[in-house]
Amino acid sequence: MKLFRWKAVVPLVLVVALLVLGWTLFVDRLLRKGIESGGTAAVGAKVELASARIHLFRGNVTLRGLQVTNPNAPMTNIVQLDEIVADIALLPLLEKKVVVDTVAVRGLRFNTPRTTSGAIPHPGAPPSRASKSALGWAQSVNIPGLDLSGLGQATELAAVRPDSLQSLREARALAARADSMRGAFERDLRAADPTPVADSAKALADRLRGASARSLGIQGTRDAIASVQRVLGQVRTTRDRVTSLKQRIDTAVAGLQSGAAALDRARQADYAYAQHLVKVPSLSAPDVSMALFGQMAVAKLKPVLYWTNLADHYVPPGLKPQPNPGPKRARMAGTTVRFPKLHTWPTFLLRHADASLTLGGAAAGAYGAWIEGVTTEPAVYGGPMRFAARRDSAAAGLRQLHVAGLIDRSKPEPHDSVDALVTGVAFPPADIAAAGARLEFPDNTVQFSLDRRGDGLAGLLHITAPSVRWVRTASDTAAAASAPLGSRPWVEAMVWRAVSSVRDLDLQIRFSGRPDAPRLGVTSNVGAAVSSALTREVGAEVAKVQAKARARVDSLVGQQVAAARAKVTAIQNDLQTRLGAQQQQLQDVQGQLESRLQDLGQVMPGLRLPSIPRIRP
Amino acid sequence: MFLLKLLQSLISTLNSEGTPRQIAAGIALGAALGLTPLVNVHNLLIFAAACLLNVSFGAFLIGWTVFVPLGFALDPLFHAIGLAFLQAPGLTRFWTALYNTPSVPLTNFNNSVVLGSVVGWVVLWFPIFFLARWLVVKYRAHVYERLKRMKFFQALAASKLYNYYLMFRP
Repeated sequence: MKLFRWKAVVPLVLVVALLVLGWTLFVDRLLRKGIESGGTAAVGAKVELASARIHLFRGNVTLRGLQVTNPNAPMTNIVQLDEIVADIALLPLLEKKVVVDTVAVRGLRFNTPRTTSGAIPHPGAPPSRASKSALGWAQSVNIPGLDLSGLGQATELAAVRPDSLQSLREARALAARADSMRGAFERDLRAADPTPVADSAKALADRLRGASARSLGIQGTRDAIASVQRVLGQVRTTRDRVTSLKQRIDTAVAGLQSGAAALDRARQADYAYAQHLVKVPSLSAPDVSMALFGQMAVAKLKPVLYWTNLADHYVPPGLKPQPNPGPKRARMAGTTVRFPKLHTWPTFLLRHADASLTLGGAAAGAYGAWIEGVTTEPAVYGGPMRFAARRDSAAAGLRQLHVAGLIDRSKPEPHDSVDALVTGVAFPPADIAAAGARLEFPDNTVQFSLDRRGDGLAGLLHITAPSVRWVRTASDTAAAASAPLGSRPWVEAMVWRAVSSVRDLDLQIRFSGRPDAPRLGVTSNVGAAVSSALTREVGAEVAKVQAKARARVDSLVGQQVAAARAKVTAIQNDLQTRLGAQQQQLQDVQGQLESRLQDLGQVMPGLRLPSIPRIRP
Repeated sequence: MFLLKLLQSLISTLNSEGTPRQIAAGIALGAALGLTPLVNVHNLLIFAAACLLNVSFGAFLIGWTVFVPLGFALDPLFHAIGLAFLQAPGLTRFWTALYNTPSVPLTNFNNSVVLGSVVGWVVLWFPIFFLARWLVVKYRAHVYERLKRMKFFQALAASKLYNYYLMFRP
């Protein structure tokens, strides 16, 4: 029986030809669908493409009508492009890698309106990890209110309960950590006890006191030197062990001290919590600024966090295998793992793109931008992604635009940096609920800077507006005059009087801390004005209630916090003193032994025995 | 119509002049297309092998059809197997070398379901082959003699599709 069926070659060739024909006919559609589905999954909102065309042998791809929906505003495109022509390298395609040498972009626009919603229509579609993280952060930010209804009423301090106080929880945890650490290190200290070695060394040193090569003879001297060197080795090993233990203890004690320092922050948070319960907020300018502009600050920073988290997810540092969801298909998608390697192509790389464009409409003017090193595997690429954009001439809208930055994930520790200056920005009016007013600020200068290194993030969004307009929105303005002290209409009227005379805005939103959950701080001239006005009117009353609230917190947590601090101090003093003594004891006997070794090595002053090994430093 | 075609193909194949070994090899090859995700380079090679090797093409189609539902059902298992292979620390260098070798990534070997199902098919190849061969032998010895006297069976074997099948008969 023949193994091969040669007559099937022709039908097989026909089948292959059909497949090639099918690929030629459908590859453009597949590319379009791939970009749309991949982009939608990455952004968390619709990414649409009117058409895609691959010219494989010419090595270029043309995309037309790209719209990327803003995930936070589904009726707006964050970016819209009329045409992109990309020159791609052919060889990397054999490794399923896309290396784009150059890109030409036409018709680039930002924040364009959409005719249909770009929200992902599937109601059960889970939000992306980046979206969830940004949303979680936005919901976790504590924005204080300007509720002064506690004034003029009996202060209900019983509402401040011990189990709700953060500093109490942290103090208990710190005390438990200190106890556990003490137990563990006591065992280590006993195990590393240098007394036997030190005693043995001291006995040897005493025995050899006054001995010399002349009194011991050649063989006796050799034996003595060997003994000294053996014991010296034991002393050094013990010293190394004690030093290593000391380093571990120092690190652990530093952790405890940091926990003790955190108790102060927790106490401040408890004060704020207690003041909130007794309905008397802090009247400090930053807290009032936070109450007035906190919502706006969160809304402005949420997209920043979203894109930072997205970069973390899609541009991970390092060369570890990267698991990603597999392609959508009738069968289970599974997980597709990428295996990056140095000195090869990354899975995607855009070497350089340069755009120079003129826009009409509300943001009419000439713009220039470039970007380089866009890649999914920065460690393989070996450099940062850099970008810059500027506005060369303005006809309408923005007067000035400068943006520059880098995203460096080529090293284990990520480094992102962005600086932007935009003048002539029109923000939509903002409702300031605490004032019962709306702030209109149509002409602003915005400075933005962000610096992220590793797990630390710091940034500033500085908005200045030379002329702002306040519009009263509260309906019961007439009732304000007769409203009781601290009631909502009274507060709104008070805040309104303070803000309505402010003609310019200087708002600084600072953020720092972990990239997925930064701390937020807001300062503003408006907040300072409101703070002054409130302090002038009700400062004394508020201070009294605040003092009572603080005293209540102190009475509930003071003892436990002091006990926790005392434990930390005791551990620090006790362990470090004992270790210091042990180190000193070992150092002393080591010095004595080394001195004996020197003595034994000398036949007469200045003359050494030739066969005696040199003492290790 | 599809079921009828399948039934006819099944009957024709089982009763053809092909040896039980050719039919079993066809089924075992066809199982690859059913067990693994279809649109992948390895399936093109297997299809070419089914055409060029002297195995029963009808059995190949039957194997494909029969194993498709099994492939869907076993996907979670294939995913687990594939992921275990792809994430095994000892194999990372091997996968990295493959992933960065021209043309190899086009096989989608780095997808857990593709790798797991291919591994599954390779492991199951011999059991499928021997089981299919045993069943064909048993069928021809015990069932076929009674079946061929049934009118339905005779009508099915005489239809036009049977002629089409003959083109690929071993």
